[in-house]
Amino acid sequence: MLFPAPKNSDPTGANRVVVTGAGIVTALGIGWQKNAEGFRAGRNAFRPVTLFDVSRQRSKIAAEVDLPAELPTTKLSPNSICRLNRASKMLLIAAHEAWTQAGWNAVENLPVVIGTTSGEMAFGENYLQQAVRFPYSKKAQPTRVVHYQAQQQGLDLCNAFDFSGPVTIVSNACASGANAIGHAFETLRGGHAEKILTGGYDSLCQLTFAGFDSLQALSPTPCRPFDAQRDGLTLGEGAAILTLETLEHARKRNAEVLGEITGYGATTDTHHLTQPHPEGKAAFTAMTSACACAKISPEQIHYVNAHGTATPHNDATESVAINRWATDYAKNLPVSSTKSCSGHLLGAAGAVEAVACLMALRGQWLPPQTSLHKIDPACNFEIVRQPVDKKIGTALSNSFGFGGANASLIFRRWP
Amino acid sequence: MNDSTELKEQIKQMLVENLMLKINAGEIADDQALFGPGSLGLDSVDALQLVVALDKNYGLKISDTEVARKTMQTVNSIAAAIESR
Amino acid sequence: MVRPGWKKPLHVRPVPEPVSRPVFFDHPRLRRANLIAQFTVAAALEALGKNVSLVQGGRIRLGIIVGVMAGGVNYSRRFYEEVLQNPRTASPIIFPETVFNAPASHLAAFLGSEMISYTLVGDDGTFLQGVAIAAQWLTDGKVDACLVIGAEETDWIVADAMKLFRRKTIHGAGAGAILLKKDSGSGAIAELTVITDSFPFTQSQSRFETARRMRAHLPSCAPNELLCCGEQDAAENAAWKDWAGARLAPKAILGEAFVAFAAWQCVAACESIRQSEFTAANISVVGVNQQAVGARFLACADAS
Repeated sequence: MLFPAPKNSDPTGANRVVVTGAGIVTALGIGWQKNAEGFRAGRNAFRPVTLFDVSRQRSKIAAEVDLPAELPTTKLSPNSICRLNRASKMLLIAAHEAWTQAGWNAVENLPVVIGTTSGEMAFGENYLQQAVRFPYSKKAQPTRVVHYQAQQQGLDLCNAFDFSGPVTIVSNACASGANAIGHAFETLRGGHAEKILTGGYDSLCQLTFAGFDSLQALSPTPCRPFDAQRDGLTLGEGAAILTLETLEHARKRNAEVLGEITGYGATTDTHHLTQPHPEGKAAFTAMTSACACAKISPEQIHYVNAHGTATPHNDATESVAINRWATDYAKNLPVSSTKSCSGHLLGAAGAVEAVACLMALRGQWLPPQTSLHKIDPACNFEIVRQPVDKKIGTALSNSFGFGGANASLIFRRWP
Repeated sequence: MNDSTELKEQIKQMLVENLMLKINAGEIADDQALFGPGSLGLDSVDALQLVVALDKNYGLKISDTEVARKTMQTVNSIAAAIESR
Repeated sequence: MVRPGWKKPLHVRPVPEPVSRPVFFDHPRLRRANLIAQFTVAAALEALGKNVSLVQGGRIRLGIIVGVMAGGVNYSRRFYEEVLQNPRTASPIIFPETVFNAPASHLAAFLGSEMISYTLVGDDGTFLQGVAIAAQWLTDGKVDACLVIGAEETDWIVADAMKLFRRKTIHGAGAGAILLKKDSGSGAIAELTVITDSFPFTQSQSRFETARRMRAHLPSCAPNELLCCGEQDAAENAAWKDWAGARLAPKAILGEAFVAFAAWQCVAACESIRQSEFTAANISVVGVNQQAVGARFLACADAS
């Protein structure tokens, strides 16, 4: 039953929640290894857009993924495999990596909680073009309708690994991935489930690219988060999936643990649909309540993976919020935005950046931003600009989005 | 109605349609401030939309944000920019 | 509704124009908002009733959950059509409103509510998933009250797509909302006692199987109990063939409005309990393409 809560649930939320599998796909590469190398070196994966025509757009670059020729073998039927488009394939690849690493077996009632902003938008675009150009042609339209919808991508995962469970799609703009992981974390902490497949995905599409360009939010050059002369974000695409379970469940099957999630805070900024309030109250409250949830103070956070989109508004507000939240500890708090490497993955950003934190904690290094020229004087904190090894125990990741969705997650190194 | 008055009427109609204003065109005064405190209450998204609308309807291309702010202060300033194009 | 390239129009069930201009229309955030956002705010304010001032005064920590399937499809379609003509002049005023969470965002801004808010995307069963999350937040003490809203707007492209699967379906628009609190204080209309598991439609589990398993999570038919269900759905009808009691299936009147329809089922159930026509109501949702999920509401007096 989804309600009332199961017998052994515990409203005080005492269950510890651990990560036993992680899968990731970005323009840096396919899989944990390639992405860890990319994030650690601060490699930027931007290139001219090839997926659709950008000749009349201000910006021409993005962090595009090179999809492999073959998908990993799963239980998906052959004809459903040939109906998958970009977003579904990236999601499937990331889920396969996490599922294999976790060593889960197919069970009933295994929840899926994933974030996206556009689902398989490319199919929506194709559907419209054909419906207008050839009003009576039904060719391939049914497949586009079914596989455009985000819930179908969730069901694809159930079919791929032959399990079943509630599929929940969270669409809170650029915070979707973080909200999805946060909701999975709270559901496990409260004993409403024992294990959850969670994460986020989004693929580049013309509608979203043209949308951000119409708002003059895209930079013509690779984005430079927290730079004094920053002039916009760079879009990217990809997916990241985590297999989360309660510590008790992981211990019972003595699974290898990659890291622990200890805190989550989520708020809403009601200032404007696309711009945060300059004082950053919602971001400040999200970070503060994530710390309260993890029962730690800002000084115990060793690295912050900022939302850091490199738009004038976001980075200014996030700086104010971090300065206020970290107080005088800010000056020795290392911060960086990995969007300088992977681009802004919208619905997948929160999930990819969660994996980046797990990589940093596991490898004991800080992901740098090599694209920064001159740091914005508003930042009282230190931006990680060169690859560096560092003993770190906890990391906080911020994700904010259109509509004022603000989310912060805290990760702890394991053991 | 001489040309410039007619142009201002068209501009007001363009403002109402493009910016989905909940008032009718006649209620906008020629010299009323469009942005900033005590004005029509437009914001930066409206400004971007106005730049696109001026390009589409009058071929007036504004690429620089400073020029845009000066040009789009009031219906009068918009009309002047169109006439001097 | 006109369908480009067709002589015959598409039949839809739109929301009629309001008789008098709603007070919330003048809020600056709603000036550029699409219809689905306006429906969302209207339904939410009605569900909140006198609690609106308590929320705006910061005396109630309000969670907001909005469920959609097609979502803000009107602006998305219009924006993409403009992009196809010329990306350079595609309307920046429309694009931000296309995000799925725009309706929830405008509602939060109208109420000045800065608490947690999720927008969920999925088929009609998504509404009950939202109610389950609201119940979890209330049980864990995360919020004092939670609004759950289902909303959809009509567009020719959605009606066109539906025709590919069910020729006779008529696409509906609108929103429904319910306000949930933890204990049945004064003014409680009905008590939520059950939300079944969500049984997804997968390769290994058909609609018939999931509908049957969902039905099994709800009690057998008892006198003066109501069943709020869909219509002409073979799987759902098979699952509920044992139900001899009253049924309410307003899809023929209100149209196929996905998550909004599931919200209306709950509103109708609670309203019939409030007017003590029935002492309990079961909600049956066998969704369009994702899941079978059900719920049960009881009259407050009987629940204790």
